[in-house]
Amino acid sequence: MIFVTSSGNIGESYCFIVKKYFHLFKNRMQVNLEYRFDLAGYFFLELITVASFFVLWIAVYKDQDSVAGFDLGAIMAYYFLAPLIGALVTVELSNSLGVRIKDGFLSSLLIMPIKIWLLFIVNDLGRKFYPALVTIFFYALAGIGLYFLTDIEFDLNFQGIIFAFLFVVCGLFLGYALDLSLGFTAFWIDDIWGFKHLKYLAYSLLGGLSFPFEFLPENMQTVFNLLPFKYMYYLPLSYLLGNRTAESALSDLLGFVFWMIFAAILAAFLWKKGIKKYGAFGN
Amino acid sequence: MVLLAIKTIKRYAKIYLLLNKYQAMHYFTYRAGLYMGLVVDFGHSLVVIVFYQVLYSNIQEVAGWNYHEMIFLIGLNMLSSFVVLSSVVILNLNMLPEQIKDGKIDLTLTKPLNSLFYITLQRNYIVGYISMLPGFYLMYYGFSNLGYTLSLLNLLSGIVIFCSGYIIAYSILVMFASMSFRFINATTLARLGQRIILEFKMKPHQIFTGGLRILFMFIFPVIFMSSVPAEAIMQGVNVWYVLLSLALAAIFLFLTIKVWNFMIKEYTSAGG
Repeated sequence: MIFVTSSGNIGESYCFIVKKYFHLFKNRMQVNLEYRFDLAGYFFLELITVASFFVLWIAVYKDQDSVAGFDLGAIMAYYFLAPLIGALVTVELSNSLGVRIKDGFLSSLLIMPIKIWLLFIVNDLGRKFYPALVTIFFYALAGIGLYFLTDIEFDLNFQGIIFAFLFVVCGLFLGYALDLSLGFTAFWIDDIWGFKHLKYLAYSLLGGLSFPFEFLPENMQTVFNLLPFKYMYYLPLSYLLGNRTAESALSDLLGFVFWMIFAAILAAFLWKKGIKKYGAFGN
Repeated sequence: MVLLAIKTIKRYAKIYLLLNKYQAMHYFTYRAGLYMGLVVDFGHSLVVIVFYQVLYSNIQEVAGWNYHEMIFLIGLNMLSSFVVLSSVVILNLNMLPEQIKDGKIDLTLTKPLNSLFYITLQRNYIVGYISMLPGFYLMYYGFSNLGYTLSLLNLLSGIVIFCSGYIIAYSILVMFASMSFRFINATTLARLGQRIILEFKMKPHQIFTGGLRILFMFIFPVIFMSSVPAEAIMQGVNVWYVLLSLALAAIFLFLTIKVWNFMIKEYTSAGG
């Protein structure tokens, strides 16, 4: 509902705002659902990635029982669960936002009664909703399969799952703030298509997707632990698998707050500067 | 008959060169895209190198492959990845699902050209050919630290297997991508073929045992793209692998033409 405040400004009730963005979220979700075969494809893509890591690590562990303190079960669990965490924390709005800015389509959004950053976040949540559901379904199936058909056991506990969920949410928030900053650089840079790749590279190397930090020398681990990318894969996985305990949660949360404030200020600064520079032309 | 075949090959080679001349001109005109492409490509290679560097700092060998043998394999794998991605995938097959959805194949089908050639090979991602150069250095670095002697026969057999591997990879990629004619906007289908090839081709082929060996030697014979040619160049020719790779390349190419011709009949133009 739209109303006029006592000071004479036109405003919207919270309920209306929530409904508006929920509608946008639902619309995006439905677009994804239109091409159902594509959704099924996500299932097979995840399967191939997980299988490839399994094959390699089984070969590695033929000659040794432990690598950097990880036995075969622990490393399998790490790589098995990485795509699940990825489906939940990875965000993809920098490219679409960048294209809008670069091609001048941002203009049509600027005149709408919406927060542009929120619109892109809601859109991205809508985009990832069904692929994430498919991935969770795949993991539920695979978990049941592994439990009944093999001797492989994942040592999961309730506390670890709660902390992992907490850091997945942190990773998601931080991912959006970083992605918005990346997308806003399109006000100055033309070739924004590489953003998605550069982000993937950062997550792979610095976020714990390629290998757990325990595989690195200690001084490198210290550096990697200072960076924000650990919130994407490494921290949720470490808590989930019990490699990190409640004692380290507070310092990890403080680190998240620092990086979140930094990324949000950076995004706001880039938007403020960029929008002054933005121009859309036509004749 | 032979003359006609030579004439056709000449014509297609000329068209291919012309198309890629324009593509190269485009990239060197808009250099920001070129530089961004190089950064991204080197970054992707760096991820693989760092992963194996970290792995080998904790272990001695994987399936009998020591550190320097693995470096040689990574180098050859970079070549094969960039050749396949640049010539077939990035600007051709990756675009196919959207082109089909938007009905943009119409224009191609009206041209007096083979549709398989024109749709799957018309544009090269020129940046990829620059990005693969560090692969040569890695091969040189790995090989020079191994103490093997390079023989011409080994090198030639490695090249033959590598080329067969390229045809096999091309065939797998096209067969997966051609399903986009049937399943509209199925962008992940094209990526499925890519994922199978890129994830498994760089692993030493000895790690595949039992059913997996049959899978990656006969059904998705990706081991002929990197691991088998690397072994042939370093340790010597295995005639069985050379013959098998040639036979598989011929069979896969034949199947690809059949699948493509079958799938393209599903194309219903705009609004499909």
